[in-house]
Amino acid sequence: MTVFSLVLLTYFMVVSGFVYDVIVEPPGIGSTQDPATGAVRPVVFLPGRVNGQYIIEGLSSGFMFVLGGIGIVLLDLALDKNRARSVKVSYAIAGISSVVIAYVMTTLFIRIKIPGYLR
Amino acid sequence: MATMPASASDLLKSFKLKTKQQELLIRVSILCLVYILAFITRLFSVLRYESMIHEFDPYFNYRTTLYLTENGFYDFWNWFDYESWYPLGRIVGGTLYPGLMVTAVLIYRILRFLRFAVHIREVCVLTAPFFASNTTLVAYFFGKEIWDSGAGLVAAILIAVCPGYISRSVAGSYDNEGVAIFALLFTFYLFVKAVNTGSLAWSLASAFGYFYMVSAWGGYVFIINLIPLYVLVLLITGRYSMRLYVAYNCMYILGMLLAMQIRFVGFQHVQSGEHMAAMGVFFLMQVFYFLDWVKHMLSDTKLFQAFLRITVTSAVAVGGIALGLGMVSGYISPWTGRFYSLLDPTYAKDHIPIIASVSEHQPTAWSSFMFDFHILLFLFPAGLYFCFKRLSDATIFIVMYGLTSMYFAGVMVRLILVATPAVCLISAIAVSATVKNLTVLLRSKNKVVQTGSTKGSGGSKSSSKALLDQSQPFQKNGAIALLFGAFYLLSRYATHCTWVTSEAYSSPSIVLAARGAHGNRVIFDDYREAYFWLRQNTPQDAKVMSWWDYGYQITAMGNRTVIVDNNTWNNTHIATVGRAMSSYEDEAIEIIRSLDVDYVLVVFGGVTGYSSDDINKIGGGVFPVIKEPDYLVNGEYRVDKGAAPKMLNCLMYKLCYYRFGEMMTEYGKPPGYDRARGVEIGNKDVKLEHLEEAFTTSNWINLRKDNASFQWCLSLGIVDLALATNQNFLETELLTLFQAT
Repeated sequence: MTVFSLVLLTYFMVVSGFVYDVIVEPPGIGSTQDPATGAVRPVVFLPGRVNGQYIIEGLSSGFMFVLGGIGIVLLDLALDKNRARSVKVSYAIAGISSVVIAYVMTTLFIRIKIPGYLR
Repeated sequence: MATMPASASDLLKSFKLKTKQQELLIRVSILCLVYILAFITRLFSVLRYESMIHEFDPYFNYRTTLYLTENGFYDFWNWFDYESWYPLGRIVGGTLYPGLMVTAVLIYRILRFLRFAVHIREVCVLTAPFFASNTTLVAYFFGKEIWDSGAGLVAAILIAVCPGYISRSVAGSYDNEGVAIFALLFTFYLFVKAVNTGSLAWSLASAFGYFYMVSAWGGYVFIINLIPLYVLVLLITGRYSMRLYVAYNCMYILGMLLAMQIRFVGFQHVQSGEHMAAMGVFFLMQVFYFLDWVKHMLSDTKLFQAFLRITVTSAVAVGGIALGLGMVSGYISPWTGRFYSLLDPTYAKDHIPIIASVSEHQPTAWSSFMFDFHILLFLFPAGLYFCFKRLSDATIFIVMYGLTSMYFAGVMVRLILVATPAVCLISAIAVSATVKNLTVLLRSKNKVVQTGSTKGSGGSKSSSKALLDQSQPFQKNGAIALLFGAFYLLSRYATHCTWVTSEAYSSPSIVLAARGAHGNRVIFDDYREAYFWLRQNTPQDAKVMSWWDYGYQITAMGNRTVIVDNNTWNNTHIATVGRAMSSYEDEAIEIIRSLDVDYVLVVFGGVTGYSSDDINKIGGGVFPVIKEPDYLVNGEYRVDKGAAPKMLNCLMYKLCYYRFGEMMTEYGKPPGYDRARGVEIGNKDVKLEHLEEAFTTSNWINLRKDNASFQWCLSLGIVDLALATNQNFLETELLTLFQAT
């Protein structure tokens, strides 16, 4: 169990682009200047390239991936026979909602990041 | 009349298969379909453009394959190439991995034997998709070995379309990785099979698989480090067995001996620090065998414990001393920069700029992972969970392969390719286990309902079963809904993969495409135009100087001698070229004359922004005369009026912007507007004293006529443009050739 959680933590770090953050040192979040008002607006997703990120967008995407994985694990736990029925139902609901949320958010993120996605 | 229906039903009965045969039929037909799918999804660029070789490195491979078909293996193995790296030349036989070329020529010979009159270029273009199809078959067998045949089928399907693999194995990408990933997965499968069965035949097969891998790609170092690591983990977790002993010994010794047959590898298996882990584990295995034998002989456990402790400490001590002696005396060389930068990613940035400058070697951002894996990123942790639930020798292997390869994929974008088979296999385990759980739920409830209705014995029993029956339809519906959900996710995965393949990974890089104002596709074939001009209009012994990216293509298509090419084995030579490009014209012409150069080729469209950056870094590393700050203003590159004077007058700038100042590039902007950098250039009146313009490709003219507003991607330079396979979208180039007088 401990090994699995360590593995999950490492996976989260790798997939969030931790090595990219350490080497390229991008800002936590980008900023752009609004041409009309002159105010500085934050930009969450680095535009223009596939292989580039800000730190926060990397961490949030990594979290979504791990959430999806945990959702499928919860689904498997829900199908285990030796538990109380209420626990199984709650696991199932948690699992399904995790997977759905993770998938929807990830698709949303990639659509923001790459404007021409699936066109 | 009565016999007619009887014979018809008899006929049907004879066709009706037993369940086992049905299952076999389904499996075989799925595998056939997957095989065909893996091949045809990689054919986008052949259908859009034509059957040609892509990128830069494949042109060198193609040239060597041509040489092999014309001159035979002995001449190929002993070939000294005088047409590249003038005036140094290159010992081709000893500096390449021959697996790819030999494979292609073998396929070519077989086809010729069967009287199919194909050209070697067609075989080269289609080698990678063919081997990708074979990889799906190996993935099926591997999945079957690790989990069960259902997981194998899913693994085959996933790896057939996974973009991480497609990126380096499209038709036309005639590069080592196309064959190497097949060899990698094949070797791993054979080794795991050997460990599972303990058979000498499978171990021998895995040694030959390893030999094929060594002959195909420099990434074999991954195998020779992962397998010892895996064996070590098995030993530590107490899974030592005779099967493991037989498998590893046979594979290591025979594999090592076979690997030494490749001249490029040579004696590295006993001399290089990267291969020492395998040797250390080999000796450790002997110690374990010895201990096992002693334990068998001794009956006293206490004595054995003491003996165990003494032996293990002394073995480790002796091993450590031997390693230390080897490294100190210099016999064992330390880790090379290429592989050391994988363990310490910051190393390349500070010490080896030429490795750090390649865009494929950048660390990976989350979007690259998502682009190349899509839903497999969810399934991977779930699959790891299932593997941990059912630990065996085989699942331990796939977990280790997955984790190590994912770490390396995080360090370098290019290595997503190596991680792809592991991710596909582990995800397949997740899919297969989940689907199995759900279908068991569906089918078992049916049985319970049936027994409840047929037996009906005992009031209490039937009432309790009735209670269960009430919740069962709900669960059944839930299971059906979840199955539909899984089906939906997998179909989204397929759509994503096909879109990515079509848009991002099917660009030949030597032919560029952009969208005009009306959405029509415009093709720029400037590279080939320039190389063909070189081939036809320059003397046979002309020498061409350009940045190293184009070396392979110039030698293969232009058939002229080059100064530096993509092999990048001599940093000083590259730095000399860089110094020539970034100096003033008078200094540059000295260097050009000393190298005996006749033609200088530059690529314009994104040159002076970023690639000068690398030229200066590399040139400055060797020649302290070049200082990057001379070219910068406030720490950034500029080409407009406010640029540094050294930048405005260096050779690269002058060659690129020669006659550019009088051109109208965009409606409403002043002449000399650089569309790649979005500024008007500073030095419009460029006069060349020692070089004269020989040839400019056609898109110079196109730009002037066409007022349409093209969409521009802010390409940062040759290096990014040429080597980034993801960013093909919207760039244009034109090539200019200058002649030294």
